[in-house]
Amino acid sequence: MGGLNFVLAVTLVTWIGLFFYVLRVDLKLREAERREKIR
Amino acid sequence: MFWQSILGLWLSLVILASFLYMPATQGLGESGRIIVYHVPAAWVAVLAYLMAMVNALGYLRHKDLRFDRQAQVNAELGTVFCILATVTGAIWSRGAWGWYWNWDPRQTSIAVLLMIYAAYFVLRNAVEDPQRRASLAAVYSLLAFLTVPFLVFVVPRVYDSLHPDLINLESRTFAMDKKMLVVFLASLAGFTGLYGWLYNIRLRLENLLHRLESKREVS
Amino acid sequence: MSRRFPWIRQSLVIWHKELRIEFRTRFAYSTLLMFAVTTLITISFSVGGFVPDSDITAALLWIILFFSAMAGLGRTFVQEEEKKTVTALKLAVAPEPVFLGKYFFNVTLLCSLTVLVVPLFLVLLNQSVPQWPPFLVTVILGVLGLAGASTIIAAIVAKAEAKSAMMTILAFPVLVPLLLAAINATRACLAGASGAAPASELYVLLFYNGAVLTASLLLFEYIWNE
Repeated sequence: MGGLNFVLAVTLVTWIGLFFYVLRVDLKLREAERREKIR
Repeated sequence: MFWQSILGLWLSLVILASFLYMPATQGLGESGRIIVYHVPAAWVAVLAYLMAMVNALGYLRHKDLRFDRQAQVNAELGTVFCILATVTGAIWSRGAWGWYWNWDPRQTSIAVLLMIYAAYFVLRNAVEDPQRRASLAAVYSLLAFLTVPFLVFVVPRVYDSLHPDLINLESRTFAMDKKMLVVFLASLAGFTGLYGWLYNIRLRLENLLHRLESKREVS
Repeated sequence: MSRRFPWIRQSLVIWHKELRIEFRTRFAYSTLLMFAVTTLITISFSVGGFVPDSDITAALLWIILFFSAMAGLGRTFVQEEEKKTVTALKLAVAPEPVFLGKYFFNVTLLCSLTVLVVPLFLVLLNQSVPQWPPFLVTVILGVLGLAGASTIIAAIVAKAEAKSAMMTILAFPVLVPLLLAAINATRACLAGASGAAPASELYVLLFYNGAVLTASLLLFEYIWNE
């Protein structure tokens, strides 16, 4: 079922995209928290 | 970094497994796979709401705005997962019974939860003063949740009398294939972990913003 | 326990106050009545001679009552804010009698409305009531529940902006179980003498009333003292 593989691909790509996006937010937050402590 | 990576990997594996490892469901076929996403999303929506209520109680007790920030974050996350749950539920419903929406007991419950979340944010937006906003929002979240258990007793009766034929098609007690059970439980754990991570980040952001606001006021 | 006794007396006094004030202008009552009667007449007119199914009429009755309550009871606490009588009330009594007094008042308002609307409803839509004792109980419990939820939500709404729209948005999710139970029970009562009496719905209505009242009494002071 080509349709099923398509859904799998879309889901996986969406998830991985979202994951890295949130990870980026996490890292930026840590940076901001770190800078706050230094100041 | 370690736990985030584990989470990312875990859920990626769950996604792969739900399509490649797990067999298609009996009766519903391929569209039944969505249950691996639907139920965990609904579970997180409810969990987030329960946490928001705990925060509400905390605020009413101690009047510390920290609790209100937590409640707000939980409500936001809860709403997101509730929307996910409603949408995946509608897709499931289409596959199982032919219609996207038919007011079956669980669809009604998730719809009511979504309405409560929406009303909660409308209320928050309508109040300026932070302390007052926190109090009113806390009271409302407690009041609204109180009424949800009653749905458990009412809706099945309404549903039965209006849609007798659909009841026969519903596989309420889903005899799960062992492989499906494994993937399902793994997804449940993964979604809970995801909620925890998102909560942590969102709360840190909210607290950071609050600290910046306070500093600005002082200087 | 002896603290409870002043509450009852104080609530009755506040109820009496509400009745007297309302009687001067009859704003809330006329809003309720206007809304209910207009809706009822519109529905009856568009239905014509055709006798609607009990499924639909049961829902219609509670739609009318629900929206009437939203229109008429929304301003329960707003007057206090506007006329600045809040401080006087806070000095005079504890929060709970204020809530109870207003609750009794809203019950009075809704009951007076129901006494007019329900017979009118039955007549205009050609409904017969095969099981009228359960029907009566359903209406009473349903109206009590409407009043209870409306009172506490009105208290919240009085402290927020954009009041009229807020009332319905906030009240509806809270009232869904009540409305569903009431509609279901009404449907059973209107449908036929054969159907089983809607016992479980009546229990739900009863416990819902108890739960909302208890929660409201516990939570009201947090709203009132904001």
